[in-house]
Amino acid sequence: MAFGLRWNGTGVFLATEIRVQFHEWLAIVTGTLTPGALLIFVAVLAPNLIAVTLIGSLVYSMFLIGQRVLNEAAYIRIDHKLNELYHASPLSPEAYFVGIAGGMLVAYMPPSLFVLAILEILHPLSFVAWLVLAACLLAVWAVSSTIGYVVSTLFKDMKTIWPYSALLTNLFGIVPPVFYPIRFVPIEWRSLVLILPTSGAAVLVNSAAGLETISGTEAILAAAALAVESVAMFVFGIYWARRMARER
Amino acid sequence: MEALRAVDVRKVYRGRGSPDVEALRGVSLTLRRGERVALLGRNGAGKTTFLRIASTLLIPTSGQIEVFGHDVVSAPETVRPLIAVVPQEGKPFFHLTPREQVYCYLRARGLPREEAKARTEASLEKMGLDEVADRLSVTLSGGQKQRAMVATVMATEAPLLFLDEPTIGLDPFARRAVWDVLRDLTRKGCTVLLTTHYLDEAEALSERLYIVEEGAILFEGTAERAKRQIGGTLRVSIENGGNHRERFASFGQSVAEGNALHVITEPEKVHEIMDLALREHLSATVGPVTLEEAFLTIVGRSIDAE
Amino acid sequence: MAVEVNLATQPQKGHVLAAWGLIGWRWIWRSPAAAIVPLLQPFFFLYFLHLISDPSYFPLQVAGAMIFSTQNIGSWCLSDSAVFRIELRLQDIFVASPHDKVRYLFGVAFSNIIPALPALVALGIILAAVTSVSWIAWLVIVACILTIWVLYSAIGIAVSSRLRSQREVWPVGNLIFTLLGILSPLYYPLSRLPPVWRELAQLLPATYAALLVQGTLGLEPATATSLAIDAGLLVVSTAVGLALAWWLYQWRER
Repeated sequence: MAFGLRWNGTGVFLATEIRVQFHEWLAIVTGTLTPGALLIFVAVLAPNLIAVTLIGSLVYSMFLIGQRVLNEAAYIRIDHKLNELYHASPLSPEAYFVGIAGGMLVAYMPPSLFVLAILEILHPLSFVAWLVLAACLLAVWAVSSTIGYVVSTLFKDMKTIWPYSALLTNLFGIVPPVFYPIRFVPIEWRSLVLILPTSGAAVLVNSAAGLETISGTEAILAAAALAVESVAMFVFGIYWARRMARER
Repeated sequence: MEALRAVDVRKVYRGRGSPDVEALRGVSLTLRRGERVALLGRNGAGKTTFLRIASTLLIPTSGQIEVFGHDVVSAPETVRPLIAVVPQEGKPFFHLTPREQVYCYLRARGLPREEAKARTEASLEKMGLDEVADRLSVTLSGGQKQRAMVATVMATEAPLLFLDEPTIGLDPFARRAVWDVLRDLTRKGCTVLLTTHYLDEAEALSERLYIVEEGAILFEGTAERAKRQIGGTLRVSIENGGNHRERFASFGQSVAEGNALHVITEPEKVHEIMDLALREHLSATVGPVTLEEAFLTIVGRSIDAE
Repeated sequence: MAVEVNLATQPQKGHVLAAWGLIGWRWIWRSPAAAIVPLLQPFFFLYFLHLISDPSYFPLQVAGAMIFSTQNIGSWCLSDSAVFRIELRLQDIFVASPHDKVRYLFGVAFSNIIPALPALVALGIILAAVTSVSWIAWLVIVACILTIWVLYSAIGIAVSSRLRSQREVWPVGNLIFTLLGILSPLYYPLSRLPPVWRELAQLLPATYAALLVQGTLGLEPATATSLAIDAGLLVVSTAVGLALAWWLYQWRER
């Protein structure tokens, strides 16, 4: 199929998905609660880390969008079987995947904007820091949406998905230095956490915002890993969407 | 003593930002002990609403239902040991096998361990689930899941069983297996109230039926009486007769189905109808009146009257 | 006149532990992640807290993690009972049976404490390793855990009974249980909270459970009188919570 034709209908499907999500405003509001809870813990226990935690909240929120993609894609497939309606249509599988991922991004943006506003008040960012933030958040979205979509296709019921979703949010959000500075991580583990997309993104933004210092090598490692992961994962997401459009 | 007696049952669903829906408008019916009775009706007629009220799942707006003499609204704890329900579109626990599902439910109902095991095996065998009895329910086909739900409830042998579309999604063999089990249960003294869209099922299985439309009972009686009521014992089906309805109007009730026209009439008029059809170059066949025509006519009359 | 003859042959009460124990056990047996993740989650969070807070808080945080893990069972109950009722329509077959609403509530709660037990045991072992725990303290901890388990499971199931669609499960559950988790001072002393928040926290049973456990373990200053008051307030707030849950809990639709 020609490239243009492959993406035919993406905009309409994305708009549909946004509309569906905005009907569930409670989900959008409560989506801020988990990062909010962590913010509160930090505010109580280590208030000097608030600015780092705010940036971590943004990164984590973007990662959670991927979990919403997981939930939504699984729900559409398992409960409604609506994916079959779309797959047996001119809408390409990749347009379907991007539509869901993009829809979630747009729908769940408002709470992130709220956190951004607080960050800007408490610790205004430079233009370069804004650019780094935007690029990192987009990269995290690409990675987490793909992870979410792929995981959603692996299970036959919603209940089984939950533990894996919880594991992902913990392994990518709570354990690595997303909500706390990388200086708390032992030196032998730093390379690993820099490679992880969420902690890599958080560290890059913190560094650009002047909240923590990392070496040039570390910055290059984090940036390169994030760039490669986001592109590779997104391409894999498209491949997987095409593969899953027809059950084997 | 009746197994179930309903008097003037009404149910209004209050709309949240939409108009109220009157699902039941004064339904009265009875079930004698050991009977198999079907509730027939179109989608949204009120069948499931009535069944859910009678099985203590839903509270009516007004009216009274008694199960073996106990009021379902004020004394549900007394009613519940006597009933069991197969809900519409129910599914078994995903992470259990059919064997575990049936056994757990029987134990949850208070059956002793050995009796629960014995009834589980018997129920699975009757429903043809032996080969999949130890497979996870999430891996079963839709029909197998439905059979597992039916097996779960049939195993209870409760004195009064409510079945909401129990054979939906089942193949003809599985449907007949369910019918056999139901007949067996009523022979043992259980009473059955089921809702169904399958008219052949209602005719084959029920001793009496109620036709419900828009929350009211339009007909009560046997399938035979329903067929006799519509003005004839034979049906002449005329292909592409839909445009010629007026010409055949004088011979009896007619029911349109797509382009075809079914004329319900008596044997002495059949020859005349066939002649007319042939003169119009229409193809026609003759057969006995089915419950479907009776249903369409009875419900159709009600729709026309409105 | 009621018919008595069939009544006598039908079981009048259901077996909760046998049925729901098997349901809960089979879930973790067949989905190992369902057993492993609840075991790991508290430790992920404890690791995070350990990094950002004063190390002296660690025993308090371990005790808090036990209460939080128990509280979290409520969100699993909310999710499960919503799935059973809305998606599987299985609640109907329990309503139309001798298995009454209390048995059902207890059954769902029991099936969900099974996956939480490994974490509670592991946390208990760690607690014993990082601080001295007397037998009275163990009794208090177990009593608090049982109280929180019953109450929050009841809250989860009661809230779930009012949901109309599966899609409401995540946001509503997240809203209730994350808020409850934040508001109670499980991972830090009550004194660290701002005044308004402190007042709010004192409405919650988990706060009194935390205060009781922290006081009994000697992690926070407490007198016998203050502990007795905390115990009394735990009982009162639990009773209020259970009454609220009972009022909210819809067993039969209206």
